[in-house]
Amino acid sequence: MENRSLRTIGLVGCLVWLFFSFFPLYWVFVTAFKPPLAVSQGATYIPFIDFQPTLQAFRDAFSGIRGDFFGPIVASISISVVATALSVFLGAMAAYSLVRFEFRIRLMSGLMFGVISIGGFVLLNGTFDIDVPYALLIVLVLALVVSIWMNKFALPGPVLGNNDVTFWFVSQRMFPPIVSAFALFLLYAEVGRAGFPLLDSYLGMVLAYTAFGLPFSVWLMRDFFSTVPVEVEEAAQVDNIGRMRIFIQIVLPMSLPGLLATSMIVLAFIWNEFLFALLLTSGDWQTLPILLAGQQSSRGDEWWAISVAALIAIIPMVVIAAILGRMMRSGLLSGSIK
Amino acid sequence: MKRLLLSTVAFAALGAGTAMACEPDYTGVTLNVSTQNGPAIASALAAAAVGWEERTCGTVNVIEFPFGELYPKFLTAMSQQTGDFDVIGFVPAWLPDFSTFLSSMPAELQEGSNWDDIHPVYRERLMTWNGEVKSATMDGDMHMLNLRADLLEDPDEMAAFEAAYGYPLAAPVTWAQYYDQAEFFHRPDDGLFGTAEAYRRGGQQFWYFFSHAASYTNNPSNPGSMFFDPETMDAQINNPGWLRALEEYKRGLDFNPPGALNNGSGDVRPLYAGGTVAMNIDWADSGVLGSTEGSIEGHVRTAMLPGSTEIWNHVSGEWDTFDEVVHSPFLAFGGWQLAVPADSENPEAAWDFVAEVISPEVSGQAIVTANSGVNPYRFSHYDNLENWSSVFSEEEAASYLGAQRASLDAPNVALDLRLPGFFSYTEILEIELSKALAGQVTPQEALDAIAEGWDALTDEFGRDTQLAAYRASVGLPPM
Repeated sequence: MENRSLRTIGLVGCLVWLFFSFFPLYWVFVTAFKPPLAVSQGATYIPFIDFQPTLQAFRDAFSGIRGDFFGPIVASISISVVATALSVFLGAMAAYSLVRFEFRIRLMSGLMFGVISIGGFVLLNGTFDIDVPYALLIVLVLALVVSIWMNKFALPGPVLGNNDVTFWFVSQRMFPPIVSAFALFLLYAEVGRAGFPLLDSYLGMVLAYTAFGLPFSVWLMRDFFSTVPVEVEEAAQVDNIGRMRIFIQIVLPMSLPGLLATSMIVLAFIWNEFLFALLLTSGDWQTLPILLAGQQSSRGDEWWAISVAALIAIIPMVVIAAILGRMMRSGLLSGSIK
Repeated sequence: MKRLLLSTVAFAALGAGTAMACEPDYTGVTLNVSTQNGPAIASALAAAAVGWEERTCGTVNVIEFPFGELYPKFLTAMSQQTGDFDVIGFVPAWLPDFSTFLSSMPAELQEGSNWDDIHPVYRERLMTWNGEVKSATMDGDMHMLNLRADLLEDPDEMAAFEAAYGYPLAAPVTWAQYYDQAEFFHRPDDGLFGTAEAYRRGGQQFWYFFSHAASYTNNPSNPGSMFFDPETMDAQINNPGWLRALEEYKRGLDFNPPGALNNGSGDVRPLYAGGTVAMNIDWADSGVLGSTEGSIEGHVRTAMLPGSTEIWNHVSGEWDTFDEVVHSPFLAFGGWQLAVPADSENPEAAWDFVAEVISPEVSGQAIVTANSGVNPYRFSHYDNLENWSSVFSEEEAASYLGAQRASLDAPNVALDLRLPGFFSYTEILEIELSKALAGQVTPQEALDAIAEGWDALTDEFGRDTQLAAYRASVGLPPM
């Protein structure tokens, strides 16, 4: 009896939670069908009873008078899928190396990297008047080579380990996005002036979002890889299988649930990202968040239009999340760990 | 062989025909034209693009961004000379910040009947900066008073009002009359509220506040002294004129529908169009919405903003009294403008496109096109009542256009704030204004805080620089 009461309370609690979870979606859905007066003259909830539904907001959206929806959808899908795949793959490689290898980075060599790159840039650009992109390229390569070479020596100062490197990756997402977004805009503008247009280009957006997603990928995949039994890899090494082949053919399949979970999170972040898209695109590769934000115009909040745009924007994400979620639940994945 | 010859001749003729059709010939030219997301303004640009493409054989790519991001997007692109945009659609308040990055309008566009047809308030004041025409108005904007003939002309209402207030019911001429009517029609039990104005931070509230303040602070004896002292650049926003305006603006909450503190301009519009309120203050959109999609069709009446017989004189430190009501209609926002960035690779074609958009024919169509967001700004727009038959009844059109024309023609018309750092100034204003409206601070405390913040900002930007810019914006000569 007591158990039944508890179950009932639990069920009611779940239903209440379900209501709170679904109500915003329901609200967006019905608002998309409301005429303007049904939005601004007090709350209306139920179509045909509280208000007469209309498809006008959908007609406006698809006729193009509220902006081109098709282009941003294609741009969002193509950019976010490729950038997610790249950042998860590269992030997985970095995370795997952080789990399986020990790094010892001398702080002094890191500082040397900073001194050479900043000082070299000032020298090349300020004194020798070399264009920004070329000056950057030269000093970054030079600084990297010199700092790696110097790391071999017993330099004074602390030595950083794997946890520090991981923290450095994560720290890339700790400062306000405008810091990196605006710097990237300036860099892209300079590179564009040198003859390699990156602003409002597919390559530029994919590169930016790959870098944007990497910290998440490294951080999340590091935890997943740490749960993979090292004995499997040791057995493969006994059979003289190369490290890259072990990573791709053994470790990655065993970590597929983690890869998919990471992909979903990174994809969601990239899909909804606004600031980079705003600064780095203009007409050709504008993404959905820009279009979505644009529904709030100087004429005030037109909630019916915002709701239609929101519905359109979440549909591709729902489809992708459903596919990835299904893959995660499939027996194929659990089998790969056995 | 004969077929080949015929084909060649036909192809040549077609080519010649095409060349003749392109005037001027911008074949291969693609213009990137950017403004806020549609339909307002963007759809008007897209519609004009069709005609321009047919005439010139060029191509127009309309690029839209959220309104809130337009300013940084344009400023970063132009300051970094990315060449992203050939034409930008923006707000007059941003002209001071943008002007150094914009090309000047070609001299040939600044003459002729099309040029003279633009109302001088736009042509000579809002489109110019430091004596140069840097932009072209494509939309005329001002705050107006929207009323309802079904209430104003109802004999029972007229008799009851006159009995209660001692003067006939008509379009309010002073703010005192405005509040009398708001009070009279405020009948929450009947689902009717006195008036509707925007009070929400971020909902364009400060333009509504400015519309009240213009009547008490835009002193004709001291031109350009509404926002700052044009001699010292000291903020004037905490003087008794502004205080009276804020107290009245706040008082209006008593006659607005419940929850008015959360209403932006987008909420004010349907409240009027749906018949929930007896009147509202808004741009021209409310009238069009009321007549086309609302429940007050045929009853839309528009009037110039109320005025005052007292205006604060910051020089004498006293109220100046006038025998007649002085109307100081406020050109809130000032309408959308087009300009050609100096880094455009196609400036000639870009200005040609601008000329197309603002031509009497194209703009005359845009002002009567639903959701174009374009409001009248040419003399021909105000004169052609027949053009409005698809939107308004004859009486509605006469009232709607008459109020706009009267506002622009008013000798004491008040222009919006145009100053480098506009957003910084209005941000301080909105924060303190919201506190005063919510009752967290008194109106005087809020205005003192705004004045202090504005003076600090002026010093930060450079008092001399800001003073020079402010004087330029209000049409005063350099000191």
